[in-house]
Amino acid sequence: MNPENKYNKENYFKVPDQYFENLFNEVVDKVENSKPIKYNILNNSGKRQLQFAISMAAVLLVLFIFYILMPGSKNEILTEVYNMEMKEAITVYLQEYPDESEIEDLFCELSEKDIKLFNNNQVDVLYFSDDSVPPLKNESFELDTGITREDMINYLMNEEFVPEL
Amino acid sequence: MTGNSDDLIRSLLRSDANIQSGFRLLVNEYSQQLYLLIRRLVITHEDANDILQNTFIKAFKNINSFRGESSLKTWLCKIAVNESLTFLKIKRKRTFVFFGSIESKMANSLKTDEYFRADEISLKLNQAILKLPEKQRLVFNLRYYDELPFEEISVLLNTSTGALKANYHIAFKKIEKFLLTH
Repeated sequence: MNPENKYNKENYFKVPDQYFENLFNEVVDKVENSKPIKYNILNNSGKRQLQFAISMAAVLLVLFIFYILMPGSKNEILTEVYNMEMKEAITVYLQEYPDESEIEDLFCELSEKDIKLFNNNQVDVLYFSDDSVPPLKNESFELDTGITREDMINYLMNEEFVPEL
Repeated sequence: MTGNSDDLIRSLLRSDANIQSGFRLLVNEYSQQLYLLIRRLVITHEDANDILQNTFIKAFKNINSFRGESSLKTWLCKIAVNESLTFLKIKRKRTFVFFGSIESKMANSLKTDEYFRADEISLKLNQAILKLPEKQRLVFNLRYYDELPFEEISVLLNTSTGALKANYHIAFKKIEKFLLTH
């Protein structure tokens, strides 16, 4: 399936009526007041705190139930839950957060290949071997590292790596 | 937008008597394409509106530092992209997401967004794009939707065209895979 053939590029993002007509006046007001807009990211803070509280309560409830039902394996359960959380966090981190130099460092730490290979200027993109990305023909800027995501996650778990999400 | 229009806008903005006309022309000429560029990155209208307004405020305040080495459009796009990425960075730090990422939250919010009207298949395409890492998403949007040449994207993102082509290729493959499996 080729997205370029199947999907047109119609704009699905709409704006309120008269939005662009009124934009100039709104911007001019702000320029005159010399006030850049402060991004209103915390407007849902109450909702987020509630979401956080509910999530934590759910985790504690699950832990408590295991604690009651299986008194013989308390530490194992706690460790297992912690490991599951960390694995999820590291998976998300690897998908979204490392910049190019960070991921390059991680591959270098883990790889058995010649590290110099990674410093070759012609190699612009490193990728996990299980990402199913075929190399571009006649191009030299991609490199399959031979490392799977699972390898990297296990490595980071062993290193007790704590991702900053 | 032609170089002549760029020159007209710049000359109007340099003259105290015509500064308002110049700024009005700049906002009218570029607001729609900048809005779409920003909206595809941050998804909600409210966030895109804030970022677009800040983009124009910054452009207005810094117009004298624009030396014409690139087109006015490229310069404005660069400000818009930087503002959007800064916004997303702040949002990531301040938004608590128990599972997944803010992008997955944004993808879910598309279904209920009153200012997003798409059929099921286009919704999936947009959700697939939101699953991409930030840089791939940015490159894909700029190339696929805005149809910017790689050379222009290279100026915008300070990245080599080779790396951009690789990013676009990988993004394309990931989207294709997502669409085949969902």
